[in-house]
Amino acid sequence: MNTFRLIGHDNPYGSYPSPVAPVGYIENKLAVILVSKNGTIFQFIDDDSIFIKHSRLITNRLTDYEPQKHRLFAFDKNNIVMYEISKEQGFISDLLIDNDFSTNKPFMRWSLAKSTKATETIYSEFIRTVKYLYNNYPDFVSTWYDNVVGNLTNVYGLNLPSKWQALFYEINTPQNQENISKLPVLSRAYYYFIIPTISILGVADIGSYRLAGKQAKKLGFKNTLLVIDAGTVIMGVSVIIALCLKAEGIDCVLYSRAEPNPTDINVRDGVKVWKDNCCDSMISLGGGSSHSCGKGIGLMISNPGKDIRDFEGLDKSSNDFIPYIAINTINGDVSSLTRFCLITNTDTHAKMAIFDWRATPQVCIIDPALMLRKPTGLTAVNGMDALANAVGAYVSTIANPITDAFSIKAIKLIAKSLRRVVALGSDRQARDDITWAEFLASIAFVNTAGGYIHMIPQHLVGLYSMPFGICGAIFHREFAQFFMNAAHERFADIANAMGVRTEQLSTLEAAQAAIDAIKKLFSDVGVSTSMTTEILLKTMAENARKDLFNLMNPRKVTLDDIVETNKNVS
Amino acid sequence: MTTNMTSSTLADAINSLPSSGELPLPLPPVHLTTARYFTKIVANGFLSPQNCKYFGEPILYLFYGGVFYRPESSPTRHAIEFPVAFVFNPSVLDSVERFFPFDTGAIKSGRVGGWTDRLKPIDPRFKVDGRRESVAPEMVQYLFGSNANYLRGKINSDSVNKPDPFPLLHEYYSDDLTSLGVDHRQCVIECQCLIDILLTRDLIWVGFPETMTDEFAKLYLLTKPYMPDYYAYDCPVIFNPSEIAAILADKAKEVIYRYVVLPGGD
Repeated sequence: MNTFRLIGHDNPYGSYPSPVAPVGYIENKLAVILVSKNGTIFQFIDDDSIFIKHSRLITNRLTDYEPQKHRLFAFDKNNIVMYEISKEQGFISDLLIDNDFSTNKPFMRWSLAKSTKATETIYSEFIRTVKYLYNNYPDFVSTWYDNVVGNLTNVYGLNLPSKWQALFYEINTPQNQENISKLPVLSRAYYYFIIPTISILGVADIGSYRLAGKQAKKLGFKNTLLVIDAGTVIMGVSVIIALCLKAEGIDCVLYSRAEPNPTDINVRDGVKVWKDNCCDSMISLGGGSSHSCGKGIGLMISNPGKDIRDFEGLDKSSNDFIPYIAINTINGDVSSLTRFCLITNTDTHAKMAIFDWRATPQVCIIDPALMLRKPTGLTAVNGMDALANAVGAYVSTIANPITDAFSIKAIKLIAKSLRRVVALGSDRQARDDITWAEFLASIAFVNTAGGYIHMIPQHLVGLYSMPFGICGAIFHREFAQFFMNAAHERFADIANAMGVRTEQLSTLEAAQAAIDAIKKLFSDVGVSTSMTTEILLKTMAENARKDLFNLMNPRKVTLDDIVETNKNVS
Repeated sequence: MTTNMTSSTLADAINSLPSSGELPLPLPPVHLTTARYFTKIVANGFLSPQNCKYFGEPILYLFYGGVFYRPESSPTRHAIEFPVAFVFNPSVLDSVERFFPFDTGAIKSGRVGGWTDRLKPIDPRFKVDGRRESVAPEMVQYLFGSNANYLRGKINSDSVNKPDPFPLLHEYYSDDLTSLGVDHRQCVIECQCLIDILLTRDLIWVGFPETMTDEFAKLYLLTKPYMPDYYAYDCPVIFNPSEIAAILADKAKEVIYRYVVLPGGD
């Protein structure tokens, strides 16, 4: 290339910071310097072309510029630096060390990071970019991620999850927060599907809970801890279970101090009862309170030296779980089927969410016979809670064909039979339908993290000791409309499942019809509450903002959304 | 071949031809702009006609069925521009006021050598009323024979036997103008709109610099639930815009070919 005299630059983006094209003269002809696949080239331009002319000061500073050796980068139109092409990677890496660099143009950072070809730099900017999109354009995260992740794997050798939610799931754990700069290996199977090894679902005529003794014997139970709550004692079912165990030669110790929202103290007390009585196995009987408390006890027993608070988060246990059967007596409960438990931290009053695959019961028994005499109000609330689980799972961003099948069938059964079972609790067919729906919805829920429906209520439960089912049901009623706007097609499917005739409706109309059908069902089964203050909702929103469940929502929930929704809650 | 100097118009010539059976499906029109304007266009949510010195009125230019980018045709005279391409659903053709069987900017600015004079007056001689139904597919069929031929720049040899000015256009398309820097853009149908085109409904694809992905994210939200596909080209340094445009053209072609391979698309 002939001698080039630099006089200015042009920035095709029109905004800074940015790489810029040098403009100058080659033998008295105006030219711009470009990067081509064949190296540095120049292109002659018209004399009246528009570009930024450099001041004398800048010109003097860049006097050593040579097109074949250097490139220009501009922080603004008057702040231009020159760097050597051979040292480009170092120059850009230095730029990216500054967290305040190019905050107004995050994708400039991302583009520059890739040009370094340095895996660690690319990874950290990738995380930063995903977070930026999540915070600013949540609807676009998935599209962008899906577009780039394959290239990052193939070209740069990064081992990344196929779904962005899985990446967030990884990086939000405390351990990875600490190690984020150490380039953790993120290799996972991204669609877990976890259910108990054996699930026994009875019909209301039979009383399958009586199989508990035989199942316990198969698992080698000899002296078992029966974890229940006060409500279960009243039902007298625990006595029957104890007799069934006795018939198989199994001794039984009762622990009945699981509070409605079990606390860490309840768990520690249960551990003491286990140890004092030399138990070797456990049955939890009842609803979520018994099962959560039981799982907490099991985690501490299986992992000596650890406290229940050590298990908050994902898969924190390291040893096999104790032999364990869960018997469910509550429609809408998910605990008996899942790896999931909620324990209240008595210091903070917050619910600790524990996900541990080892805590999934080996055997789960769900028996509608145990629910026949359930009060009408509780039946209605539990049914709507199950509906909330199914809908939440169906619109979750990590829904998959298995959970879809479970969700839709659950919705169909609830739409078909909830009114009937609320009106006539002893209707065995309707009770069976709702029991199946509960099972299906729970499985779908826990394998999709359930999204919004559990994001808010768990904080409400922890803070104010409101029954979980009521919280879930209420928030489902109020928030379904909010999420519907981000998931029309999914809600249109829900309308179909609820029996709405949608043939003549647009997708949007069908989605709205789903919301109307849900509210109608709420009204028909008589679920109503008076609701809470703005302060209460703000408190929940602050918690919800930090919550992992928010990531699985079709639409991100903000404080304003919750406060706005509060206006509609009666 | 000698040039037919009669004053027949292309519109008349098309009208005089008998109906030739099933026409190819209409192709997506493409608007080309520059990165410098991308932010403003997204903020507006529509494309609007810009003053055109050649036609003396505000015109929004689109190309029929492809990215035909000329860096020097940008609406400003900046030293360098990065290309941005918007591909629309063919339904946008309803907004086209008139078609021309070539890039009028290249003709009027004298970039095609002696053809600038030989094709005069391009208006009204080569102007075809856009309000006429299926005019673009008709032009493709008579001039190129099929959508696939049009996208490859392969001329319909039978057009020399059609009424004036088809033979002249055949000669223009066939002339080797590479020495003048003219490439595949020699065979292109230009669409001129006099009204705004909204981005919210009919946008099917956007090509833009990756550094401006946040602008596209805004567009993505704006267009819900009709979000376009996209291609974000990598440009951490100032790459040659012509090479970028070639990549964009190839990527856009993948989108446009979806229409060509439809039943009746070719």
